Amino acid sequence: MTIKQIFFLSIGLFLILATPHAVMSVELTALEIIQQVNSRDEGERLSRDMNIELIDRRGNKRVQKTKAFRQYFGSTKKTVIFYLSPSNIKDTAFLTWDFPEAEKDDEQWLYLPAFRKVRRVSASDSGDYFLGTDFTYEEIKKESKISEENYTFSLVGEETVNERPTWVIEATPVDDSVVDIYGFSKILLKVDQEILMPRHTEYWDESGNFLKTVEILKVKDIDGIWSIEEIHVSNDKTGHKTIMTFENADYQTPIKKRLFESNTLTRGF
Amino acid sequence: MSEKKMGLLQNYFSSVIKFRWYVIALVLIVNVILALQLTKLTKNVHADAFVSEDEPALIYTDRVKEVFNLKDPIVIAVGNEGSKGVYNKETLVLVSRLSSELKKIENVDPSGIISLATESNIEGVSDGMEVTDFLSSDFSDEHISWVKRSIENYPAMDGVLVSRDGSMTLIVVELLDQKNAKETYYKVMDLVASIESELEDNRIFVSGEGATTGFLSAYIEKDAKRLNPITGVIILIILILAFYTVPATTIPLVIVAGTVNMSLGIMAFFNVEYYVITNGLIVCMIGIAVADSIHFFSEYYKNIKNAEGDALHSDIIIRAMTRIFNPVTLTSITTAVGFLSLYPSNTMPPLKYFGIYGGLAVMIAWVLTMTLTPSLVSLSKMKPSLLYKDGLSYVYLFLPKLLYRTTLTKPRLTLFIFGILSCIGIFFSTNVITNEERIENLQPTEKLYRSDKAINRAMDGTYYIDLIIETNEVDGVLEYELLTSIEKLQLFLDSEQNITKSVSIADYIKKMNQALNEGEAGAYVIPDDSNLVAQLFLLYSLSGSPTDFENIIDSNKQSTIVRAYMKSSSYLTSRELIPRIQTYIDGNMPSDVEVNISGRVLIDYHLVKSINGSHVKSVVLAFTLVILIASLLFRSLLCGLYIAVPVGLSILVVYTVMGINGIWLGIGTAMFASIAIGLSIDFAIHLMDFFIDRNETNKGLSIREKMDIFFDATGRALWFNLLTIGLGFSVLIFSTVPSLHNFGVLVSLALGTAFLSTIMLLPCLLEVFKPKFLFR
Repeated sequence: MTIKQIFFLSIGLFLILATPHAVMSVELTALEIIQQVNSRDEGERLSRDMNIELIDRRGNKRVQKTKAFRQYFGSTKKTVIFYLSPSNIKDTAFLTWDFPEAEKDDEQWLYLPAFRKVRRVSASDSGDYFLGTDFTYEEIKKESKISEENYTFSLVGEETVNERPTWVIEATPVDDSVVDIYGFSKILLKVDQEILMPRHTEYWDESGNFLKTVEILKVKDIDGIWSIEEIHVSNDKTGHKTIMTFENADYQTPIKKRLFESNTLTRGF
Repeated sequence: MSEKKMGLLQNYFSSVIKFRWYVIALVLIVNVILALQLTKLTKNVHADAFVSEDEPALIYTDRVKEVFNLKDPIVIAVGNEGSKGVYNKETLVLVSRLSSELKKIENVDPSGIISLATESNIEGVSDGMEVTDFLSSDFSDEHISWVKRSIENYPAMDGVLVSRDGSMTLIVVELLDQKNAKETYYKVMDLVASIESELEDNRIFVSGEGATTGFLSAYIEKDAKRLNPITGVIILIILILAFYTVPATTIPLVIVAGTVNMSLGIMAFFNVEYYVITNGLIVCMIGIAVADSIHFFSEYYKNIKNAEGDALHSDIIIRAMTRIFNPVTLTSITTAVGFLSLYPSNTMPPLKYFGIYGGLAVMIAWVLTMTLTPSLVSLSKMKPSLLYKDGLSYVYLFLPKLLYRTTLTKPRLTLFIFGILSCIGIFFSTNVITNEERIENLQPTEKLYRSDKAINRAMDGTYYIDLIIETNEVDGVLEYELLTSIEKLQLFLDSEQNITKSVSIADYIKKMNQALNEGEAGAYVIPDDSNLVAQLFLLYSLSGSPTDFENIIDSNKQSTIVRAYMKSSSYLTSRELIPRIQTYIDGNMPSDVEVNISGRVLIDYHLVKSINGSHVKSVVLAFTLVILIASLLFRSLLCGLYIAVPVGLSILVVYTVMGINGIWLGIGTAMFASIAIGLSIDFAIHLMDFFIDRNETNKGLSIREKMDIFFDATGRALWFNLLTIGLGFSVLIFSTVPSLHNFGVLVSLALGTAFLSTIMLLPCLLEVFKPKFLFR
C-alpha cells in the first residue's frame, strides 16, 4: 500500500466515521429505516412503573399509577398491568397475551377486586383505544414500531425535532382494509437518526382529517436498550391528552411466571 | 298649519330643489358607502339567535354543552314499515353503507357517527364479557335476530338508536365545524338522493338540529329571493294603477331601494346579524318607503290638475311637499314609534333589531321623501297624470264612500254593532295560545318537516330535557346513594306523560354490571360498591374510546347528565312539565348535590314564557306612545283617545282571528301588534289632521260632508296607501316560513280593519259625541 493509498483510505475512513448518519441517510430507503426501527432491541423482559395521566379537553387531569410487566414466552408476548392508584381501582389487573399469528385473537383477562373475580374479556380490536388512553392497542403492542406489511413508506425529508436529527417518513396504508382496522389514512413519523425511535408521529383519521400527535419526550439508555421515559399523545379532534411516564425500568431481574397467568391475577405482583 | 311654518317649509323645499344635484350626489355617496357594508352582513339562523345572550338558561346550557361536549348533529333515519321493520338484511346493509359513506363527507366527524354500524353490544357470557359490534359482515337471519334481541335488552339504545317497534333506526352524524352545517347538510342530502333510487321498502329521513340550521340558512335566502321581487312587482302595479306616469313609478322605487340599502348597510356596519325574521323587515321597508311617495304624488298630480297655465313646476312640487309634510311626518313618527317599542319591551335580539331597524327604515324613507323625492321630481317634466280626472276619482272612491255614507246614516246603530262585534272579539281573543316550535318555521310540505315528524313518531323523540347533577368531589357520581337517586329520578321522569324515555349513566352502569355477571337478568342493578362502579368503567375502557362517555359524565366523574327524551319541544308541554320536574328535584334529590335543568327545551320554555310578557309590554308601550304623540300634536288627549279607537279595534280583530284559527302568539306573530299599531294609526291621523286643519273652511258642514271633502282631497292617497302597505305586507302570505306568513296575514288584516274602522266607525263617533276639539 503506497503512502498515497493510505492517505486516501484514511480520509475515506475518517469521513465515514465522522458522519455516519449523513452517509446512512443517503443510502437508506424509507423501508430500510423502518426495518431498523422495528429491529430495535426491546429486551426479553421488562418491569417498570407506569404512570398514566389522562387529561380531558378542559384540562381536568386524572392520574393512574401502575406497575407493568412484560415478557416474551417464545414469540408470545405477555403483558400484565397492576393498578396501584387511585384507590377505587387499586389492585385491578389487566393481562394480555399477544400471539404473533395474525389470525389468532389475543387473549385478555381483567381482575376486578371489587368483584373478586377474574373475567376474560373479548379481544380488543387493533384500532380500539387502550385503557382509556389516546393510544390504540396496536400502538401499545408495537411499542413505537410500525407494521411493515400494512404500510408503504416514503422518505419525505429530514427534520430536527428537539435538537435531534430525524428522518421524516410517510406511511400510507396498503389498502382500505388497513384503514378500516387501524383507523388511520396516513401516518407521518419523524425517526430519530441515532436511536431509531420515532420522536414525533402524526396520524390522520380514516377520512383524512388530522387526528393526533404522539411525542416521545424522554428516552434513556438502560442496559443498552433505548427506553421511553415520557410519551405524550394529544388527540386534535377530541382535545383529550394522555401522558405516560415510566420509571424504574428493569430488563434484567427475572419476573415471576405466575404474574402472566390469569388464575393468579388476584394475588397481585 | 300656521303661515310662519308654511313659509319655513316653502323656503326649505325651494332650497332642496335649488341644490338638487348636491342632494342627489350626497344621497348617492351615502348609499354607495353603505352598500359596501352589505358584504359584512352575516346570517344567523341558529336556534339560539332568538335568545338574549344573558338569558341564564342559555348561559347554563352553553356551559353544559362545553363540559359534556354536546353538539348539534344531523340525524338520518332509516325506516322500514315491513313486518320485520329494520331488522332485515337489506335495511341493515343500507345502514352500514350509509354509515361508511357519511364518513367520507367533508366536515363530518368520522368518529362522531353513531349508528348500528358503529355501536357495540355489551354482553355477559359464561367465561367473561363480550363487547361485540352490532353489525359486521354477518347479515344472516341468526345474527339479525341477535341484533334485535340485543337492542331490546339494552335500555339506553332501545327507542333511542332503534325505535321500540323496530320500524326505524338512526344514524347520528356529528360535524367537525358547526359553521359549515349548511354545506354539510346539502352533501348529506346529495348522498341520500343518490341512494334513494335504489331503495325498495326502506325510507330515509334527514333531520336534527344540525340539519335544521343548515336548511333554514338556505331556506330564508330562497324565501327572500322570492318575496322581495313579488313585493316590488305589486308595488309597481299599484303605482301604475294610481298614477300611470314615469316619475310616479320610478321615483318611489328609488326611494324604496335607498331605504332598504341604507337600513341594511347600517345594520351591517353595526354587525347586526340577518335573522329569519329579517326577511319580513325588508318587505316592511318596501311597503313603508313607498307610502310616503304615494302621498306626495297624489298631492302633486292633484296640484298639476288644478294648476293654472303659467304655474312653475317647482312651485307645484313645493306646494305638494308643504301640504304632505305634516301628516307624513306625523305618521312616520307614529310608525317608527310602533317599531321602536319592540326594542325596550323584548329580550329577543332579532325582535329588538327588527324594532330598531324598522324604525330607522321609516325615518330614512321620510328623509329621502323630504329630500330626494322633490329633487328627482324637479328633474322631470311637469306632465299631468291621465288618471287624475274627475270621473276616475269616482271609480276609485266609490267603495270607501259607500261605506262611510252607509254607516253615517245610522251612526248609533253602527256604534252598537261595533260594540257587539268587539265583545265577540274579546271573547275569542282569550283563546289565543302562546307557543313556539322551531320546526314550525318550515312548511308542513317540506322534506325536513316531514322527516322531523316521522322520526319523532317512530323514535322516543329527538327533543330532550337535560338534568345536570353536580357533586362536590371527584368520582362523586359513582356513589351508590346518588346513583339510586338518579334511578328514582328516572322512574319519575319515565312516569311523565310527555317524556318517552330517560337515559342516564346509571343505565350504562347497570348494563355493565349485568354483563359482568354473565348477563343475569337480576344483575341489571346498580352495584352497592362505588369501587366496583369505578372498576366497571375501567372494564369498559378496554374497548371504548377515552371520550365515549363524555356526553353523559365528565372525566372527573363529578357531574353527569340525565336526559329525558320528548317527541315535541312545544311550550304547551314544557310549561307544566318543567315546573313539575323542578318540584321533584327540590323535594327528592340529595341536598349535597346540585341539580339543574338544561337544554334546548328549557331555553325555548323561557323564550316563549317571555313572549307573553314582552308582547303585552310592547303593545301597551306602542299604544300609549302613539296615542300620546297624537294627543300632543293635536293638543287634545280626547282626540288621541278617538284616534285610539280604530287602532284598538284593528288589534282586537287580529287577536280574534288568532284565537279562532289557532294561530300561536309566537316569535313571528308577537311582533305584529306593535308594528300594526304604528301603521294603522296613520289613517286616523290623516283624517283628524284634515278635520282639525280645515275646521275654519269647513265650518257648519256635517260630518258626512266633511268626509266627502276629505276623501276628495286625501282619500285617494289614503286608499292607495292602504293598498300599498297592506298588499306589501300581504306578500308575506307567500312566505314559506309559516311565522312570517302569519305575520304578513295579521299585519294586513290589522291595516284593513284600521282603515275600515277609521272611515266607518270614527265618523259615527264624531257624529254622535261631537267632541269639542273638532270645533276649536
